[in-house]
Amino acid sequence: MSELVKISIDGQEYQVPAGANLLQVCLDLGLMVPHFCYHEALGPAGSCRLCAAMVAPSAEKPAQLVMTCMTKVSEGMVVKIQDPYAKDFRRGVIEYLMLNHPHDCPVCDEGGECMLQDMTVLSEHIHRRSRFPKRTWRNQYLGPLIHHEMNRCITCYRCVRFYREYALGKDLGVFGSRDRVYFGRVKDGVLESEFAGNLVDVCPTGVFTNKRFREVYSRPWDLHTARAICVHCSIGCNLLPGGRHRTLRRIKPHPHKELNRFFICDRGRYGGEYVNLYPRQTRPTIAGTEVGFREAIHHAATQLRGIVEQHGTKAIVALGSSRASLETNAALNLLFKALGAEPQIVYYDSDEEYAAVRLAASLTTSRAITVPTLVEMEKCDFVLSIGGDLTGEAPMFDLSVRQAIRAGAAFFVISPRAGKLDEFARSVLRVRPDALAQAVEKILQALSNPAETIAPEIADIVQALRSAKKPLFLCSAIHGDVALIKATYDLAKAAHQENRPCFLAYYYPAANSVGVALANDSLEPTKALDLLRTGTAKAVIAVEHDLATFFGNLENAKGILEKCAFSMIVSSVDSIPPDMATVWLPASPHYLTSGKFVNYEGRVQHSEGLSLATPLTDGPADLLLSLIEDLGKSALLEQAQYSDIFAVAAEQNVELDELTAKDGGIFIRGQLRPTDLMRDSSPSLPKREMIRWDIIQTFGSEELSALAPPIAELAAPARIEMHPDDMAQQNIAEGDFVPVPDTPSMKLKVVPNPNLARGTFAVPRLPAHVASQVPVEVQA
Amino acid sequence: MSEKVLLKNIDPKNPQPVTFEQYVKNGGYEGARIALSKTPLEVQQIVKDSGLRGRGGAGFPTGLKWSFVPMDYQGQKYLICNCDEMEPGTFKDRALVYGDPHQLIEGMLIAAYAMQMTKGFIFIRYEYKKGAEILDRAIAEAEQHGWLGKNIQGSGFDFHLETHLSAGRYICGEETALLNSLEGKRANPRSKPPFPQIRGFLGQPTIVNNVETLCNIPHILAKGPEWYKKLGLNGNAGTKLMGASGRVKTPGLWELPMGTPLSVLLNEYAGGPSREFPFKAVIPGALSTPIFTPEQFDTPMDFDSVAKAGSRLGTACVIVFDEGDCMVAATANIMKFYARESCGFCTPCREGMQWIYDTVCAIRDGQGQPSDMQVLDDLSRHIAHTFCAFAPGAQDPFLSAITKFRHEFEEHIAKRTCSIAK
Amino acid sequence: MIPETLRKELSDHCAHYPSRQVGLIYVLQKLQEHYGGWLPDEAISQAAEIVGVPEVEVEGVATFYNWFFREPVGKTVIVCCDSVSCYLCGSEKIVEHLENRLGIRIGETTPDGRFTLLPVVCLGNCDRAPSIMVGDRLYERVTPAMIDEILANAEMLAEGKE
Ligand SMILES: Cc1cc2nc3c(=O)[nH]c(=O)nc-3n(C[C@H](O)[C@H](O)[C@H](O)COP(=O)(O)O)c2cc1C
Ligand code: SF4
Ligand code: FES
Repeated sequence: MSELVKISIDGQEYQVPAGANLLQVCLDLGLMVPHFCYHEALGPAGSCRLCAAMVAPSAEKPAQLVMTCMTKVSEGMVVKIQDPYAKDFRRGVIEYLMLNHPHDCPVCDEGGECMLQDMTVLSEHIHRRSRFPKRTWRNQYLGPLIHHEMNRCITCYRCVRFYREYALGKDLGVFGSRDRVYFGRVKDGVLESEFAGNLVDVCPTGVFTNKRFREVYSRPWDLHTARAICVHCSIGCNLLPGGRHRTLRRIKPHPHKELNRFFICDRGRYGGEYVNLYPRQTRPTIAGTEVGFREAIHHAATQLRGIVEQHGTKAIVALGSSRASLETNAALNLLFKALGAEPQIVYYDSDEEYAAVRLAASLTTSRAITVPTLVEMEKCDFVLSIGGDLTGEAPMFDLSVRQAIRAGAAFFVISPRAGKLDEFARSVLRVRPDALAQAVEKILQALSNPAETIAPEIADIVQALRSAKKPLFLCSAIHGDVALIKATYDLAKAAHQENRPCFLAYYYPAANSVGVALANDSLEPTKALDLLRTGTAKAVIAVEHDLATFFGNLENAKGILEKCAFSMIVSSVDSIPPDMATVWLPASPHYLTSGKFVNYEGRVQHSEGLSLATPLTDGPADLLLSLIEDLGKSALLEQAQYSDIFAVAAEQNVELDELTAKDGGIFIRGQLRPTDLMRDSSPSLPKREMIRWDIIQTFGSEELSALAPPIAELAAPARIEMHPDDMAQQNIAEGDFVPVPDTPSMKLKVVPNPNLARGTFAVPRLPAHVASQVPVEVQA
Repeated sequence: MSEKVLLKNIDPKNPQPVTFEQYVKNGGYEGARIALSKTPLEVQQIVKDSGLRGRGGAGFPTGLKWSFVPMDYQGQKYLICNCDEMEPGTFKDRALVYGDPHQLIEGMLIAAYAMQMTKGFIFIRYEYKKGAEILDRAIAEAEQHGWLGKNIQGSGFDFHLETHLSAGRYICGEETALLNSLEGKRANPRSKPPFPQIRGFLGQPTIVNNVETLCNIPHILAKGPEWYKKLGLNGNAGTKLMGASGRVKTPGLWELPMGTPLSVLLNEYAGGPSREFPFKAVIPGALSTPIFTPEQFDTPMDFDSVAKAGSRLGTACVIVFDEGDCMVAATANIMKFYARESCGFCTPCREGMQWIYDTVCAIRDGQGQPSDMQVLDDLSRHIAHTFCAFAPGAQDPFLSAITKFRHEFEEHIAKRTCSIAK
Repeated sequence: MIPETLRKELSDHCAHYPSRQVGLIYVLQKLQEHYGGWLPDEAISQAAEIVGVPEVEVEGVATFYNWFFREPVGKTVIVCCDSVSCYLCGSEKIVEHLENRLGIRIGETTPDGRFTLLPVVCLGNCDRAPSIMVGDRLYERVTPAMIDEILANAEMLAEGKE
C-alpha cells in the first residue's frame, strides 16, 4: 500500500495516495474536473488545458493555476477546483475549443455520449462570441469500421496517443500545426491496427465514430444494454452491447480492471453483428417442413426416447460447443440424463484439439501454473510467444504484450509464420509446426544446464530469461500441439524455480474452451466419428456446432446425417441447410441470451442477454430444457440450478475442488489430472515433408465474427502460403493453384511468404460455414 | 562606446567571417587553452563566478544551469547551441555567427569541457543557411588545428561539433521543442520536468545555450571572472549586444555595458526618432516582452532593472514605435506572428492566437464591436496558462498593448476608423 | 525515384546518429532539393524508407515546418519578412508591389511556375528593414525600385539555369 497524504480540495480534507495524479485523484473522489487529453490508460498530455485548478503546495503558500493532470499530490496541498479564476479559465478553454467546432450536435453520431458536450456544460460555456468563419477540413475514408469527421476535432491528441503510442500502430498521425492540426492517415485507406475501433471510445467527441452504428443510428440512451462477455476468442473481454428494436446496434468495451480495462479488439467490437443475421429459417422444421416449436420439440423428444428404447443407452452422439455457454452444454448433458442415455458428447473438431485443449485447460485450472490477467501481462519484463500468432488468436494478448514492450520487456517469438508483433521481437525463431516443441525443449535444456554451450538461435532467449524478473510465456492451444503445451509447461515450471513469479497463459480456440474442457464425459472426435460411420450410433444431435466443419465438408455431413435414424440441429447461425436434419431448432444467438463462459484464466464470467424483440426468443439452452420438460423430466430441472456454477459443473461430472474469488471474478479449479492427460497425449506424428499450418486471422477465422459484414469485408482472401525456396524446389510459381493439404478437394492460389518456416503450407483457417462468404479465390 | 568583447572582431554593419588565423592572432582559443588546463568543475566555477546570465531571453545564471548536469553520468551528454533566432526584432546572434564563428566554437568547446559533453550541435534557423556554411567551414578549420575532434590539443578531451539546419519554425527556439526538432520530430515542446539537463536530446543530459551566452565564455576564461563582472554598469556583469530597429534614425547593433539606460541606446546609439514624431512606445527585449512607454525609457537595460520596470530584458533588441504609429495595427501585426507560429499543441494558444488576431484586425479595419474588448481581455488572461512559454511570450506585448493603448482600441471601435496612423 | 548515390548518402547520414530519425529533417531537405523545391508524395515514402520511420511520422514533420512544401512551388521562392520591424519600415508596400508585379497574391505561385511569394518570420535583419529573401539571397532596405531590379535579375538567373 502506498503512503497516504492529506490534501484539501474545495475545503474538504481527503487522504489520498502520495504522488498520485491529482486529476485522477479528483475523478476517483467523484469530483468532476473537466478534462479532455487526460485518459486513465493514456495518461496526461497537458495539451487541452481544461483540467485547471488553483493549487497551493500548502495553506500558507500562494495558489497558482495548474493543470491537475500534470500535478502530483503532496502532503498539505490545497486544491480549489471551484475557484472563480480557474472556472473562468476553463470556460475560456471550452470557448476556444468550440470556435471551430461545427455545432452539428443534432446530427452527430456522438450525440448523447459526447464528452465535449458534457465538458462544455460542466465548464459553463454558454454563448458563442466569435463571429469569424470556421475552419473546415476534408474527411478521409478509413475503412469499413470507422467514420472520420475532422471538423469536430478538439485536438486533444488522444487518438494518436492511443493509436501510435499505446497500440503501436503506424498509420494514423498528426499533421500540420498552429490552428490547423489534422489527425488522419497520409492517404485515405483502411486503418491497419486491429485495435483501431478503440478510437471511437478514446475520441471525446465525434471525430472517430463507429461507422456501423451510424448506419442505423440510435441515440445511446435509447439502446438496451447488457453486460456481456465477448464470444470471439478465449480471453473473455467484458462488453456492453447495445441493441434496439430487432437488432444489435453496437458493442463497446465494458471496463474491467484486470482484463480488457478500457479497450477491446475490432473482432470483438464489430464481430457481434452476426447476431443480426438470424438463420434464414427462423421456424423449426421437421424433415424440412416448417412446424411450431412445440411440435418440433415434441417430435424430437419422442424420436430420441424411441431410439434409446430400441438401440440402447449408447445410441446417441452429440456435438456440444466450446463457443456456447456452460448452460447450453450442461443442458445437453442433462438431456442425456433425461433420456437415460450415456452422454457421448464431443466438443472438438479433431483429436489433436481435444488433447491439446484439455491438457492446457487442466494445467490452467489445476493451479499448476500462474495464469496472468491481461493487466499482469503488461508488467512482465520478458515475454515469449510460442506457437501461435497473438494478433489473430488472442488479440487482446497482443495489446497487452505491446504495453509490456513499451515498458521495455524483452520480447521473443517462436512460431512457424511471421505475425504482426514480430517486428518488436528481439529475436524470432522460425520453426516448422512439428518442431515447435523441440525448440522449447532446447531452451529448457539450456536453462537447466548452464554449463553447456547454448545454440546461437536461442542464446538471446535464454540469456534474457535468466535475467528476467517477471517472465511470461504465452502459448497457443489452438493448433492441437500437445507436445508443445507440455514443453511450454515444463519450461515455465523450470523458470519458476528460480524464485520469481513466472506467468504462463495458454489461449484456446473458443470463448468457452476451458469451460467445456472440464467435462470428463467428453468424447474424442474420431471415436464419435466411428460411432456414426459404423452406424453404432443411431442419432446425432448438434448444438451450436458446425457440422460441415466437424465432418470435413457439407457432403460428408449430409452422408452421415442421412445414415442416422434421427438427427437434430440446434443452432443460432445458418450453418447447414435445415432440411438435412430430422429436426431443426433455430436458436437465439449470443448477446441475446445469457450464459456463463470460462476464459483462458479459468475465470467464470456471466454474459447477460439483451432483450430485443427478435424473431427468436429462446437460446439453445432453453430449447434443450424444453425438450427435457417434454420428456416429462422437469424434476431434473428443479434440481439443477443453472445459474450456479457448482450445479453446472456437477452436471458435467466435473469435480470442482475449489472456487477462488479474486478481484472481480470466480475462478474454477478443475480436477482433471494433467499428469494423466500428459501420459495420454497422442504419439508424435510421422514426419512429413510438407506440413499444414493454420493461419488464424483476426478477421475471418473465428466462426461467428466471420459472418459479420464488416469483418467479412476485412478478411484476407484465402490462399496457400509457401516459402519461396519450397516453391522453387517443388516447381510451384506464384499464382499457381495447389490442393489444400487435408482438404484436397479445394485448390487455392499460392502466395510466396519468405517469413514462413520451410516445409510449411500456411492456409487461413476458414470455418466451413463461412468459407463461402469470405473472399476466396478457389479453383474448383 | 565601451570595451568591445564579443564584437571585437566583428563589424555588425558588414560582418565578414574572421578566419582561424585572424581569430588566433586576436587572442582566440586562449580561453580554451586555459580551460583545458583546469578541471571541468573549476571551469564551471569560473563561469558561475563571472555572473554570466543566459542571453537567450530568460537570463538564467549560466553557471548554475550547467551545475544541474550530472557529472558522474556514464552515457552520452550533449551541448546544443540555440541559434534559432526567430524572435521578431532580434538580430544579434546572426552577427556573431556570420562575423566570428570561431568565437562560438571556442565557447562551445569550453562549455562542453566544463560539463564533459563530447557531442555538440549548433541548431541554426533555415534562413541562416549561409551562417551554417560559415560555421561548417570554421568547424573544419578548428578540426584541422586540433580544436575540435579527438584528443583536443592533447588534453585527452574529445568534442565533436556539427551544425543542424532547421526547417524553420519559431517554436524551435524553445529549448524542449528544439530537442524534438533535432530528434527529427514535430517541434512540440515537452513537459518539464524532466529538464533537459537531466533528460534532453535522445533522453540524455543536455544543455541548450544561446549563441551570445556561449560567445561570452572564451573571454571569461581568458580574462577572468573579476574582469568580466566589471564590464557592466551598476554591478551588472558583462557586456550585452543591444539592437534597435523600427522608428529610429540609425538602427543597428552595438555591444554596450549591461545596464546601459534605454534612453542612451535610443538617442545616442540609435540616433533618436527617424520621423517627425516623438517616440511612443518601445518593446525592450524583442517582440515577446511587455511594452514600455516614455516614462520607462530611463530604465537601465539589464535583467533586473527591466523586470522591475515591468518588462523583460529578453534579447535586448528594442523595437521602437513613434506617435505616427497606430498601436492597433501594430498589435495586429504582432499577433499575426504568434497566430502563425503557434505550434498548435495546446488549446489557448492554438485557437486563442488566431481569435485575437481576427479580432484585432476587425478593430483595425473599423469592424470592431464594443464587446470585442471583453473577448480580448479574457484571452489576454488565458494565454498565460499554456503548455510552454510561447503564449505567455505573446501575452506580454499583447496585454500591455490593450492596457496601455486601450484608448486607441476603443477609439477604433467607436469611430470605426483610424485617426492615428501616419 | 532518386539516384542510388543520393539514397546512400542520406542513409549513411542517418546512420551516423544514435537514432536514425535525427536525420529526418536533413533527408527531407535534400529530397526537397532533389524534387525541385517541394516534397511530392513519393518523397514522403522515400524518406520513411530511408530513415526507417512510418510515413505518418514523415508527413507529420513535413507538414509542421515552414520550409517544407507539400505542393509544387515556383523555381524561385521569394519570402518577405512581415514581422514588426519590417512592418514598421514598409514591408506591406513591398509585398503589395511584388503582388502587382507577379500578378499573384502572397502565398501563391505564378501560373508559369517561376515564382512563389510567401511571408516569412523576422529574418534577423531588422536594422536593415524591410528585408526579403529571393532564393538563398537576402536583400535589405528593399524599395519598390529594387524589386523591379531583383525580379529582372531573378528572371535572368532562372533563365540562365534552364
Ligand atoms: C517561444 C520561444 C522561443 C525561443 N527562441 C529562442 C531563440 O531563438 N534563441 C534562444 O537562444 N533562445 C530562445 N528561447 C529561449 C530558450 O528556450 C532557452 O531558454 C535558451 O536557449 C537558453 O539559453 P541561455 O540559457 O543561454 O539563455 C525561446 C524560448 C521560447 C519560449
Ligand atoms: S503555448 Fe501551446 S500551442 Fe503555443 S507554442 Fe506552446 S505548446 Fe504550442
Ligand atoms: S486533461 Fe489536463 S491538460 Fe488536458
